[in-house]
Amino acid sequence: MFEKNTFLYRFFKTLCQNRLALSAFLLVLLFTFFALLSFIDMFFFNEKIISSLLYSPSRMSVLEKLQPPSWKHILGTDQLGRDLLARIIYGSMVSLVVCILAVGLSGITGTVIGLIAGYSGGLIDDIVMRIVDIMLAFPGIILAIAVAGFLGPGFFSIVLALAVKSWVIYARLIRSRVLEIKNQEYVRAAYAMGAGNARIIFRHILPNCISTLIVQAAMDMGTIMIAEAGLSFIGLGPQPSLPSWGNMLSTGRNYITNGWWLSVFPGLAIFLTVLCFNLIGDILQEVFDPKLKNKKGE
Amino acid sequence: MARYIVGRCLQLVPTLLGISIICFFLIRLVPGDPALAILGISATPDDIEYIRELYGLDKPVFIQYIIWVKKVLCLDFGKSIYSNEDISGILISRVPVSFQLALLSMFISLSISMPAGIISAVKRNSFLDRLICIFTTAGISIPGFWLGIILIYVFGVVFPVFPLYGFVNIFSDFTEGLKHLFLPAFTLGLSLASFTCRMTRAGMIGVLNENYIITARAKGLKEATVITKHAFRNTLIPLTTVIGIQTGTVLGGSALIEVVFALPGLGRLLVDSIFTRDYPVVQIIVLLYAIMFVLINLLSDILYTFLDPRIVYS
Repeated sequence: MFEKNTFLYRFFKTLCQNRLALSAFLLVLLFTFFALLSFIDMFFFNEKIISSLLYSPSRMSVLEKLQPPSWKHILGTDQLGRDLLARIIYGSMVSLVVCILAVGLSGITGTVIGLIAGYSGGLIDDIVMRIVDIMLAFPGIILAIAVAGFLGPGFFSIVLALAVKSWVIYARLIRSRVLEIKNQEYVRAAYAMGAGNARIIFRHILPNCISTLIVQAAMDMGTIMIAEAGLSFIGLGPQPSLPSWGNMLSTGRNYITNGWWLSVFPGLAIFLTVLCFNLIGDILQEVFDPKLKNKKGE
Repeated sequence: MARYIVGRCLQLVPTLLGISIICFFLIRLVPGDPALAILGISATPDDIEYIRELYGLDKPVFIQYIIWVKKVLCLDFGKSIYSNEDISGILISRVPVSFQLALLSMFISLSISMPAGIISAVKRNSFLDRLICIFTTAGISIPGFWLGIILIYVFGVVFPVFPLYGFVNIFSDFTEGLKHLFLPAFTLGLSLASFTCRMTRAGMIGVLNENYIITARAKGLKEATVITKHAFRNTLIPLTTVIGIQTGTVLGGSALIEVVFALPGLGRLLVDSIFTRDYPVVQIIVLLYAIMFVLINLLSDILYTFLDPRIVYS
C-alpha cells in the first residue's frame, strides 16, 4: 500500500509541475466523464439527460440538416439534422469502452504469456518468442481489418481484432522484465526459503512488472484508439447504429464539400484524446523510470 | 558476413510458416460453414458441394493447408469469388499503386524528418527545438486518415490545387500522377516523419556527445562538416532499422489512406474485399502484406551489416 502511495504522490507531483500534462490528465478525466454520462444516460434514462442539456443524439430533423456551427448547434448538425456535439459526446462512450476493453484484454493476455515464457524459459520461451515474431510481421492494422471483417460486426469482434496483435508487445516487455527479475537475490532468497512458483510469480515478480505494464498501457491507449477509429471509419465498427468517432468521420468524408464540420470535429476529438493519452504515457514513464531522463540526454 | 546473411534468411522460414498458418486459418474465423460463408445465404446445396470440392473443404484441415500452401508457392492464388478473375491478375494491377504511394511518402517523410531532427538536436532546447517537438508529439497523435480528410478539404475544396480523388500512374503521366499522389503521400509521410524525426533527434544527441565529435571540432573543422560528415553519418546507421520498421507502418497505414483518397491500391482492395465477402482475396492480401514486411526488414538488417562493419556477427 505504501509503495502505491509514493507512486501516486510522485505522479501528481509531476502533474502539478507540468501544466501541459495536467491539462492532458484533466481532459482525459473529462472524456471519461462524458463516456460514463452517456453510458448511464443511454441505458437508464433513455437519452433524457443529454436531451435536456443539449439535444438527443438520435433526434433527426430535416429542417436542420447540415447546419454549420452556430449558437443553437455549437458544432453544427449532420446530414440528418442531428446535433454534432451530442453525437460526439455519445461517441466517446464507444471509443473509450472499446479501447479500454482491447487494452485490458491484450494487457492481461500478454502479461500471462510473458510471465509464463520468461519464468519457465527453455522451449516454451522459444515458442512464445517465435509467435511474437510472427505476429509482428503483420503490418499496422491489416490483421485487425481482416479479423474484424471475418468475425463480422460486433462489439466483441472489434475488441478481439484490436487485441489480436497488441498483446504481443506486452508479452515481450513482461518477458524481458521477468528475465531481469528472475535472477535477483530476493527472488532467489524466496526460492531458497521454499516459496512455490505461484508465490514467487505473484508476490515477487508480478508487482515489479506493474510499472512497465501501466506505462505501456497508457501508450497503447492512443494507438488502439486510432486503430479503433480507423476500423469504424471503414465501416467495421462495433455497431453502425451507435455513434462513434470513427464512423462519424466516414460520414463526414462524404460531405466534405458542403459540411467541413462533420469531418473536423470528430477527428479533433480523436486527436485530442490520443494526444492526452500519449502525454500521460510520457509522464508515467518519467515517474516510473527517472533514469530515462539521463538516458535521453536532457 | 555471408554466414550471417544466410542465417538471417533461414530464420525467415519459421516466421513465413507461421504467417501462412495464420492467413490460412483466418478464413475459419467466419462463423459457420466456410463454403456457406463464401457463397452467402442464398447458396444451393449443389453450389456448396462444388465450392467444397474446389477449395478442398471436404478434406482434413491439415491436407487443406498443404494444398493451399502448394498453390500459393506456385503463385496460383485462385480466383476471386466476387469478380471471378484471377487473384494474381488483380494484384498485379493494384500493387504498383501502393508501391508508388509508399515510395513517395517515404521520400517526403525522410526529406522532412531528417533536417528537422538534425536541427532539433543541434539547437537543443532552443525555440525551434521546442516547436519541432510539439509538432512531432502532435504528429504521432493525429489519425492519418483524418489528416487526409482535412487536407482534401483544404487543398481540394477551399484551394483547389490538387484533385480530390483518384489515381494516375506516375510513369505514364508524371505531372498528373504526382498531382494525384501528392496529397495521400504527404498525409502518410507526415505521420511517419514524426517518428523518424524523434529517432533522428535522439540519435544525433547521442552521437554529438561522443569524443570524436569533440576531436573533430578541436582540429578546427567547420561546424557544418562536423554535423553532416561526422555526426549525421553515424546516426544513419540505427536509422536504417527504424526505416525498415517504418515501411510496415507505411504498408499498414496506406490501407486507410487509400480508402480516404479512393486510390485503387492493395489496401483499398483489402477493405473492398471484406465487404464483398471475397475471403480468398483477403487471405492473399494479408499474406502478401506480411511477406513484404518481413522481406523489407530482412533487407534493412542486411544493409545494416554493410553500413556498420564494426558489428561482429556470430
